[in-house]
Amino acid sequence: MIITTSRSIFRPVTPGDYQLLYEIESDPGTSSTWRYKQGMPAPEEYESALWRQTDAIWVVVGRDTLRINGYLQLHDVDLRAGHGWFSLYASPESRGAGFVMEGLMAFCESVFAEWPLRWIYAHSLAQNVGAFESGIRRGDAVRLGILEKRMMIDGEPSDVHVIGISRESWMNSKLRERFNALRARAK
Amino acid sequence: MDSVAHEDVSWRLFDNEDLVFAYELAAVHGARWWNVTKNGSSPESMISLISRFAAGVTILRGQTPIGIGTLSDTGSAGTGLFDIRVVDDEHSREIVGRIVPELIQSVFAVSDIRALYHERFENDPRLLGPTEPYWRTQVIFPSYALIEGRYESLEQRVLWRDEFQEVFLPLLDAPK
Repeated sequence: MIITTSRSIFRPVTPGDYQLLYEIESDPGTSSTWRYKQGMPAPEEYESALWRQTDAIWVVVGRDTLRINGYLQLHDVDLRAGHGWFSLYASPESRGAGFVMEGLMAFCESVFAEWPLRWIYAHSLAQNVGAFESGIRRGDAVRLGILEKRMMIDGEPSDVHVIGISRESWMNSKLRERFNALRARAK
Repeated sequence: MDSVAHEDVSWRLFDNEDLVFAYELAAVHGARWWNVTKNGSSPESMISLISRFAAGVTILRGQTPIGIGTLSDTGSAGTGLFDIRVVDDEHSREIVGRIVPELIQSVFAVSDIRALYHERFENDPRLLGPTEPYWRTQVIFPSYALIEGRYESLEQRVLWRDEFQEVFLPLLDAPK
């Protein structure tokens, strides 16, 4: 599923994207908090590392620059239970600009349209959870709990928040309504 | 309770000969032992999941296996997932809790694990014996999976090494 907004194209990843993803993921600012905690894999091992336990990946591409501003992953899907996990990564240049959170709306729209999932969950480190707070306040997302001191980041214990988005809340959310209205206008 | 208190409950390290017992245990638990049965009940699938546990013990009443304890998801964060599964009879469920403090003590003694996690569905039996009150709820996944005809929530709880060693164990050793 490809979703276009006024400033982004949200589309499935292709092998041609791997090199750029590798470059943006190599950012030293996130090396201790992102998935490759033991260090970036060698380029020749990147594809299998990227897809480990992963069911789908979408990239968020800026319409003006055609650069990849980040990507979202659906992983550890449990079709029997009807849930899966997601991760989102913003490139260093686009952090704080909202591209990836806009990508998250497109992600919810795609996942709940094409996968029989009732819930999607994410682990968010305490330093990143601010990105979800407005969604939690609006009721679009739920904080299911906090795993206190769950991770060691640079030798220090860090809390991990567990965030959940249910199909029901997404399908009925005002945010979804606005997002799809903006999409329609962007066409 | 006297008959329970004096009954011979022990444990030994899990070995390959216990795989059949573990398989039978998983088959009886069905969806309630989600981590092992979620992909279905083929022996290949379940035994492969059981074999991936970092460590396991078989719990015995006399010479008869009545349950297993497992440790999984251990990693660089210094945490692990602790689980206990017991045959489906009330008496075994009642006595297994007696061995739990010793199992946990062993985990902390031989590893640098700083926190153990334990997951239970809302209608799972409580098997953690006297350690139950020391497990703190951290996350609840509402309507996590379909168990025996209805969606049950899954609770994740944590037991900190410091609290277990500094608060729980001294209470256990204190004169009654």
